[in-house]
Amino acid sequence: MKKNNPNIEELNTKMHHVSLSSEEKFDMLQNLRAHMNTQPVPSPIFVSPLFKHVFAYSLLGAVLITTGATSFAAEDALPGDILYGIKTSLNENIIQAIALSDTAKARAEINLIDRRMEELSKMAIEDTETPEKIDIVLEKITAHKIDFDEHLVEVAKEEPSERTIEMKAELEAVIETHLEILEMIEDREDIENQKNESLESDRASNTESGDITIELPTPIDSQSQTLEASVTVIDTVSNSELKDATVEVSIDISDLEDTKIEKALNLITNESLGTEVEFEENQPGTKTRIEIRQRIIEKAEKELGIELNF
Amino acid sequence: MNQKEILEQTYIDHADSLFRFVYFRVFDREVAKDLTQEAFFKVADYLMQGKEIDNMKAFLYKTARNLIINSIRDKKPVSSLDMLHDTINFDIADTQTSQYEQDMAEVAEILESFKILKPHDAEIMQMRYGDGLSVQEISDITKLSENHISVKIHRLLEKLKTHHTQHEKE
Repeated sequence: MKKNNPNIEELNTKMHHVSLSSEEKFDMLQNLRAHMNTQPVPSPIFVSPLFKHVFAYSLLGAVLITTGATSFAAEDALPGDILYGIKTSLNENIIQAIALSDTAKARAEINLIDRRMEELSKMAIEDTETPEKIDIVLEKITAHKIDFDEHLVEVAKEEPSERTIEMKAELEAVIETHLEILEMIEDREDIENQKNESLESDRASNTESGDITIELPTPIDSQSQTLEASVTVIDTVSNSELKDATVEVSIDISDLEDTKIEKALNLITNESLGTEVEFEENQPGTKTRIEIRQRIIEKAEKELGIELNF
Repeated sequence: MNQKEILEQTYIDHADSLFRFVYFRVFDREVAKDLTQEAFFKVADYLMQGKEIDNMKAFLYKTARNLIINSIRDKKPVSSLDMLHDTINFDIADTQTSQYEQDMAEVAEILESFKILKPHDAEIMQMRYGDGLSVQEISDITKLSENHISVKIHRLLEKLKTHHTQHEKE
């Protein structure tokens, strides 16, 4: 078989056809920046182990003298509070910096897990927990647990095995103490979910559209400042989702007044729920989807003066 | 420059080449994107801990290489020819498809020809000629001496040419 002479020296040049698109490159850079922003920037002085201990105490002193009130107030902060960042980065970095041995570092992580569980408890008691806030805390607990495990590996190398067993037991005790609270949150979420399911079921049963009904979850993504709704067309006979029959609606609410946001949400809800569904044999749901989109676009522009993106 | 600036500059300098490094080993664009990003995250974590990196490029590629090894450890090996079919579907800006297809076919052919070598040797050849890494950078990544790498590359190149000549006669 005839083979061309492969020019190995040009391999690199030919591979250059494959690259990240500008968009992919930009997205990745944004992700990288976000990742970096979740990490505390180390002061060069902290890099040196020799000065680490001394400066941790100095910094703690400086914090207490200069920003004592803020730092102290931050101790009670919960996820969503402005001071929560100070609590978890500034205050707790000092706690970690003071811990020198691996045993002390592992114990510091147990204390931090205890603090996070305490926050969950407070939110549950004050009834201020939201899925987003719980996620923030759970993510931090996971990170502390990873650090704890890493320190424990080092502890196992230097200390008798009883020490690692003892520390694991300490961690378990901390978790168990707060478990009751976590169960409380879970129970409350279950009740909420049941309520929502019941509400959606009521909405669906009130919708007259032949054999088809429309299911309408309307989550609001407050963090990204985007209101998103997803309308899925369901065949009530087979109780299955029609293929490719989902309408995705996304509205940038960052510059909208509260009243307009509410109107926009109502508009999507009402327009979607009142829809008579028609579908063609080959492309089920397509016509309906286009109609819903068109109506929402027109009304949003007319009534709210906003331009929608789908 | 602070850590963030160092990392951003590293990203600007090496994002594309590192993506290619990963892509031509996993042959899956989405997986390659994830692993490339993961490699930068790991370098960020390292820098943010206040640790110093002597040779950023080698460190980055070494990190990506470890991630690739972990990623493909349990997976079925993918042929370079299979890869070609996926690659042709990419959106390529300012590139004539025919030239692109022709070049990708050659890339696949060269990568296939590396299969007559031991995996470790094939990796060195791909680093040198595919990724355009210097002997010193390959030495940093593989922990082999520069002299060893130079001699190896020379011999492997000869071996590939001899094999190709014999194959042509057949």
